[in-house]
Amino acid sequence: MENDKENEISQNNQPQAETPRKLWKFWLMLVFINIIFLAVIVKLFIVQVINSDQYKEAAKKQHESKVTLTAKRGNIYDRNGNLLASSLQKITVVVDPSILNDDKMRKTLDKICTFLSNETGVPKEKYIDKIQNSDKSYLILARGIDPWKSSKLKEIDDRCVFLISEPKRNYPFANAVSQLIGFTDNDNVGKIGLEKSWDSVLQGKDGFIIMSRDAIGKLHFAADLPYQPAMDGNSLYLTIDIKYQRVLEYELQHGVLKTNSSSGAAIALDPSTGEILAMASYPDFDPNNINSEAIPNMKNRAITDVYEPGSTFKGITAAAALEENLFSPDDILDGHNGSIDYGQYTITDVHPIGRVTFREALEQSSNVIFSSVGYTIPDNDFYKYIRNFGFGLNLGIDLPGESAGRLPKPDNFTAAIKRFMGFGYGIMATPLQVLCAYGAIANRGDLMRPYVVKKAVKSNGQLLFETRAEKIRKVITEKTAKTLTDMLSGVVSRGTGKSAILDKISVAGKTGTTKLVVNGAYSDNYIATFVGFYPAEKPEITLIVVLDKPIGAYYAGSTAAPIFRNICARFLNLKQLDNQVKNDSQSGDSTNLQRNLRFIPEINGLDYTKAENLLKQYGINLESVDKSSIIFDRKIKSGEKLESGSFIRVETDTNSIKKPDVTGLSLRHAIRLLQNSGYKVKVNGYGLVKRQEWSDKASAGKECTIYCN
Amino acid sequence: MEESSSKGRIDWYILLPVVGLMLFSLAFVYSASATRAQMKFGSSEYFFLKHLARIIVGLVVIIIFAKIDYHKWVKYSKIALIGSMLLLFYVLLTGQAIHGASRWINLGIINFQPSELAKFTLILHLSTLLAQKQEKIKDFKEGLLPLLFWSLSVCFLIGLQPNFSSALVIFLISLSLMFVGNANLFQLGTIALFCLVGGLGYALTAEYRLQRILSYLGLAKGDEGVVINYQLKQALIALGTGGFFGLGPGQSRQSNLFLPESFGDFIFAIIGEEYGWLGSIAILLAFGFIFWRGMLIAKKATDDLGYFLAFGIIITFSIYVFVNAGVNCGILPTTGLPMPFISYGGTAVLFYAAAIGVLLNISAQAGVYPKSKK
Repeated sequence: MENDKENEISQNNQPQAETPRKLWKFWLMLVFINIIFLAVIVKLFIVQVINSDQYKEAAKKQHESKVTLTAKRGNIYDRNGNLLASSLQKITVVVDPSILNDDKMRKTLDKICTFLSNETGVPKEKYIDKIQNSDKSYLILARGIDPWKSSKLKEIDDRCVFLISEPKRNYPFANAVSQLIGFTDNDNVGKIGLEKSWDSVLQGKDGFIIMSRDAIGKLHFAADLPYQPAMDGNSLYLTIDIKYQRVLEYELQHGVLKTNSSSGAAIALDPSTGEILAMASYPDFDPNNINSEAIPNMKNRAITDVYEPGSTFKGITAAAALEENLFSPDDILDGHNGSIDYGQYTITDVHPIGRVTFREALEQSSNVIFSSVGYTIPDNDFYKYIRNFGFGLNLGIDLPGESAGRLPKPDNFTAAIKRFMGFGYGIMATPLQVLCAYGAIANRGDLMRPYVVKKAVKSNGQLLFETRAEKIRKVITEKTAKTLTDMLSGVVSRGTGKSAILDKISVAGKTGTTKLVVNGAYSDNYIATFVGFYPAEKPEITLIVVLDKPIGAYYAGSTAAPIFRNICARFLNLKQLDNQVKNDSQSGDSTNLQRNLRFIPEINGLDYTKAENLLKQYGINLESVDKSSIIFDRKIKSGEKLESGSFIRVETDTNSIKKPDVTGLSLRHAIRLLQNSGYKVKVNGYGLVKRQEWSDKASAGKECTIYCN
Repeated sequence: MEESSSKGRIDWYILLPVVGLMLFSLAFVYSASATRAQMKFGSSEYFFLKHLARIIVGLVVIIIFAKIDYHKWVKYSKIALIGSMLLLFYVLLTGQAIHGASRWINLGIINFQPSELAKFTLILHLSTLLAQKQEKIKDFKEGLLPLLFWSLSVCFLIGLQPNFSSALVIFLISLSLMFVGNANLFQLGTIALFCLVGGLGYALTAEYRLQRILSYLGLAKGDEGVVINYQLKQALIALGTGGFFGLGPGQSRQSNLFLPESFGDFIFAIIGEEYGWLGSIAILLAFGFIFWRGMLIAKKATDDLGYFLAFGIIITFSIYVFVNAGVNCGILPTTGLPMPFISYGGTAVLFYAAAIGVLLNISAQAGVYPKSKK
């Protein structure tokens, strides 16, 4: 196509004798090069277009890694929002012994073990031993190290120390409520108590994030890969009032020690609703520090241990007799001067009495009289009332391990069985069952289902559910309940329960001192019980105190009753103080004694309603002009303390809210914020965000590109 | 100079794709090197900035060399070639070992690679000799032997580094130059046969060369085979994930340390990953265009020197592009030859720029652009 010019005379000086340019050679080279280029293009087409999928698959395999996002376990609060259990991020230290055991690493090994020893108190040599005797390349050395401290380990050595962030359950009140709440194992699964029975509610659902991975295994965030956020667990609000709980525990502990009892249990209940206000067993344990010594103390004796209720059961027998109109309080009954012989067995009284009223028989807790009262009630009626008061069946409390006790069937009733049942022998019950039966008496004859979980709240602040007070059944009429309450008040004011008398407040209650059965025979060990409620006219609290094997003065009247009284007195004080605070405080919603400082939760990135709900739980009010936007305010420092009832004012510059400034934030945080604001995120690099760029092209949708270091 | 400038201006059609490729290489190098730079130097722009500086210098070099009459080089061709051979000798004695080979002289700012210099001084000298000896070219002793002597010496020195692939490619370029330079075909064929046998023997003497060839043939065993196949496998994964349209600029994931030499010898695979098949053939077509245009300049060159020199330069470009792309997509055994202008690499950019400058000067004297006066 070109004019050949090879024959033209060159303008240069160099001689040119003949034509050097053999054009066929020129064209041959040209064609040859073109062919090899074409070969490359064809091969590229095969690799990039035809076999593309196969390589994409291989790439995915090596580029992407699924990382589990651990859901945060829900918190547990008392009825007033005081934190009873929460999850903290703690660090588990893992080392690679296969590297550390090298002689060159001696110094590093020593440094790591010294550091851990300082943190945990475990001798350094133990760690060194552990490492040197391991042939694995992954050895868990220590758990529960604080994140800010553990980072120093990374400075010692980066190659063989791995820090794994794991949630660790934290129980700020330690031993308080320990049996009730229980604890979780290292895998964050509830083992006993509420942590166990409410595990599925508290746990939440782990999410995952597909991260891109580079050739050396480092993971990077990538906005375009699937991301399933973790669903944090729900939080529980209990019916427990931590102030009442601590009083109850303190008095129970002191009572147990003072009476030389082997253990004790106590429960306080709001009779009108069935809400458990406090529940404790002593000895207790510290759920933050689980060891083998703690195991025997983990039982929630108040609901798991059964015993013969003894004299406390006389209230139940009396209720049946009154309701069936077999006796009235002023009927005269014969106490046989403290002893009656039925041939095979003799029933005796501690305080022998002669002919007394039914009321006096209860006040003096006469076994003789109540054996004949029990005998008088027809089999089926007696069984019905006992059953209706909640004996022999689970009450259905929302706690694990509740015992049903034991109640003989009416078909098996004999005269002896009925006589002994009349004063509380031959039947097994838990302290909770006895308490609830008295609760029914206090609550005008209505038996309420006891419960400890008031409500569950989702991590975003929404209510998951709320427990409503539930009446199980009407056991006795209001009239009978009133009569019985009056009789029980007499027990305290005149009878065996005198040491439970409170100033100005009338208490109704009943003592019970049960001989313990050991190897089928009654022993010299006793269980001392006091159960009752106050004020008798309009009961607010029903309370039971049970002491196992008090030594010395074992009668309930001198052991359990004083504890009962102490607890009630202090409950009354608390209530008085609460009322004072209520009257003093202008906002009127502060239910706590002291200034109620609350941590500000993380609200950046939430929309207004969610943030408002969340803050409400913390007793903080949210103020913002623009209620339709995502909260974004740099000045809010989550984790700072604020007084309950205070206001947070949120930055309302719409622009800054709609276009969040994410520089300086971590990549993950930044991505979340931007995505919540409706932006597609493009990421360059990883680490902290250095700068960001906006593009508002209508076609591509809102997009923000962030650049990291 | 005066005469030549009267003939015409430089060929913009070849300059534009060259400059275009140089500028695009900035984006390619940045994306392909960011992760490694971040990891090694704590700054993702580390390699990018160095590359940028070289591209700028390269553009200046093009302009300078385009202004210098290529006939002036004739006087220095022999001395330059001897000088570069001395440098090659020098690196053999003292040079730094990088990847098991002594190829560089550290000049502080850049690692100077004498083989790049030797490549172009050899082409220059061969072209000079061919132009001078056209009458005697068929005579073996007078014609071909000196050419062979220089080529073999240079290739031998480079092969000793050891850099077998460069030696082989440079010898191939020399042979094709002799072929176009009218050497006796029988003599040339005999030499080619000799060299084939010798080269094969040489290839088999070094374990790693043998392994690479075995690996290419799919016969390699053990670690070496794995490593070499790893590079190719990663390159193919990069190209394959790119698909037809690519993942988009800066979206390469293979450059996250998966693909070794991701911004050097294997940058083409990263381009294929980010810009897809379209992107990779666009690069190849740009080089193809440069090749066609270069051949046109050679054909139109006003004298034999220009013809041979232009041909030598353009054939060097093309062979390197082909070898690099061929290695990246697996039709050639894995070897470390950079892609002209695209790969990160200091010396290469400057010498390729110089070569393009010379080519432009030839084009200006030939009056390729604007089309010959009518």
